[in-house]
Amino acid sequence: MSRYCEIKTQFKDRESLILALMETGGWTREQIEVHDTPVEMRRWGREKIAKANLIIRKKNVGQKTNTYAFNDIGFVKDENGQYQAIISDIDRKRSCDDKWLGKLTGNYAFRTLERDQRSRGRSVSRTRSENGRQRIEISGYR
Amino acid sequence: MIPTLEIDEKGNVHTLYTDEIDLYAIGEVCNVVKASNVEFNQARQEWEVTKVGSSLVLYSNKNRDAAINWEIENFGIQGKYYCGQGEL
Repeated sequence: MSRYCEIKTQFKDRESLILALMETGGWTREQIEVHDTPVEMRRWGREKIAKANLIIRKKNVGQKTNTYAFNDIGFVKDENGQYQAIISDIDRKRSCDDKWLGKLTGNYAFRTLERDQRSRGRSVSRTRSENGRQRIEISGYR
Repeated sequence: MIPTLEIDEKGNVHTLYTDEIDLYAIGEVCNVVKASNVEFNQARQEWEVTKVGSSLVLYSNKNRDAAINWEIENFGIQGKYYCGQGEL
């Protein structure tokens, strides 16, 4: 008997999130600050002061797309162990919109899956389609 | 055999459920619905694959693993009988 299922992706693993950020935003590992204890993000104007465990400083945020970012973007670990994105409203309309977040989330899912399967000695391949979907195949299963 | 997975535009994953992938590491598993059945037909001495809600036998084999592999291949993302959410 087989069952279909859906997995609502949640940012639980720090390393997979870093890899997904590097892939989606084009950042180097050095451009992603990692803090065990959340530190303050630099925010502009009326944006609320916030702290995060992972921070990409605003000077690097729109670097690849040449879109100036107004604030740092960050991810803070909540009480359930999940990382929540902190992106200002203005940057969500510019460099980090819903489409970008969907892409980041998908890349995170892929990186998590890839790390899990590699640890089991299997290889993972990915095909991207124009509509933004990714198809993942796993080989090496015995 | 491990089923193919699909990641949608929002970053959520769609697949046949399997314990060969740590799905819980990716996020919250939800919307679990039955796709097909593999039952033993004593009269024919074969394992038969049927779609949920139908008694039509789509495939049969004396080897249970072969029947299950056929089921994964044909009800999975790229399969002929896939009826999940959307296709690539």
